[in-house]
Amino acid sequence: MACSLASSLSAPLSPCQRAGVRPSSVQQSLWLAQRGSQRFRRRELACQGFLSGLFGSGPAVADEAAAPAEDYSSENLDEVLLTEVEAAGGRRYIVYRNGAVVDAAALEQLCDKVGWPRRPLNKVQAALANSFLVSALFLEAQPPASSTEDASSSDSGSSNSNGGGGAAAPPGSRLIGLARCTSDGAFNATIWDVLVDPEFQGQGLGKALVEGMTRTLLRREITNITLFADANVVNFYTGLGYAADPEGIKGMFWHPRF
Amino acid sequence: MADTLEQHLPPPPISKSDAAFLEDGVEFVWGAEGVDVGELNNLFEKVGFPRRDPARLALALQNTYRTVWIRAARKSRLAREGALLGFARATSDGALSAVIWDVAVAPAWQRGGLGRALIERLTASLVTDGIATITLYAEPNVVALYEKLGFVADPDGIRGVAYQSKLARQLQMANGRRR
Repeated sequence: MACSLASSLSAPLSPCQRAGVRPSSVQQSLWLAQRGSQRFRRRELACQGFLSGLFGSGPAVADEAAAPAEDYSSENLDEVLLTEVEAAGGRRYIVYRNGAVVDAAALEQLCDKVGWPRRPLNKVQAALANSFLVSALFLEAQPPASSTEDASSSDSGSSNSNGGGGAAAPPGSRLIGLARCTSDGAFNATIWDVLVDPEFQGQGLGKALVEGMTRTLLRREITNITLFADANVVNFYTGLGYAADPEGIKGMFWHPRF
Repeated sequence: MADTLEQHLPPPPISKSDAAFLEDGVEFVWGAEGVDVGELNNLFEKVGFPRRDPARLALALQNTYRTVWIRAARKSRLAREGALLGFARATSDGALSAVIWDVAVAPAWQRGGLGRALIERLTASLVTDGIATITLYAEPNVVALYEKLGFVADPDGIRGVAYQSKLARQLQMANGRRR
């Protein structure tokens, strides 16, 4: 399969697609709302329309319409309930956490599941600690206390969580997705290690991770958002507003070992 | 518990030494502390990069993992002593990956191997830190330069990708135009 380097830098949709689990049509994500409308698709999962609060209150991320930067300032993307999962043992919740504390060993186990080669744990730990932003998806036993509800809901909810993020997921949570980025905090960001547990692929979770991270960066006016995509997931990213080789600019690697 | 053993590549050779460059009147300085943001913006402008909002540029430098720049070691007809002649920086998580940005050499000092020298040194320092993935985004006219320095475009079909949106472009222009 692709080398270590290739695998470690892109969303692992290809293993899912190769396994024939679902042809993932990323334009039809289960829960990403566009411009005031909410789209649901009935499947074995119950979906919640919370993401209208995430992406519907302003322009969709890939939207071409202009929007003033202040539209983003009131959004709280730190802890968002993505969906409920009816599992054999009862309800679980897939929670998106911005600024998540992620255990390096849990991440490497997840990398195993998508077929990426292992990396030294101490390096993974250091990389996570020194990333500009880490966003993660957890399968949890309870919905987060501060989950963002549907935009049409008048419930302001209780604000128990620390808005600053960085809190660990509750005990018993299982890491099922991640994206992280490095950045200079001003102009450039590069997104790495976008991955979703194969058990949960094909439902728009990778899209939610990438869009959430993109939106968070744009909120901070970090506008040159880059990444390196495996050949077979370039379309995943172009569907999210990214372009390959913009203006002919080429991504290059120093002595890649593959 | 032992971590996975890694085979590190040796750092790239430095083709012309610091001493040799010093004889030519230039020296390499590590770290951004001595960089004047106004001077850096002037250099960017000379090479066709956008000028940056100075406060944001200062912030970017603070959050940059490694910076190396070229300083005129003595006064000459081209530059005063201490002038900023070249620049390169890299962001990184300090362990797994790095991205090189803003590589610039003042036009009057180009074609003397300074660009190559910057990249060799910056790359070597990242490799020495154990960072296995060292990347950059190259404009078409400099891809060949980087290939000569050991960089490979689209290895195994991996593509460099960047976010495009009208909002992003507006913000970029706002960041670039502020003086």
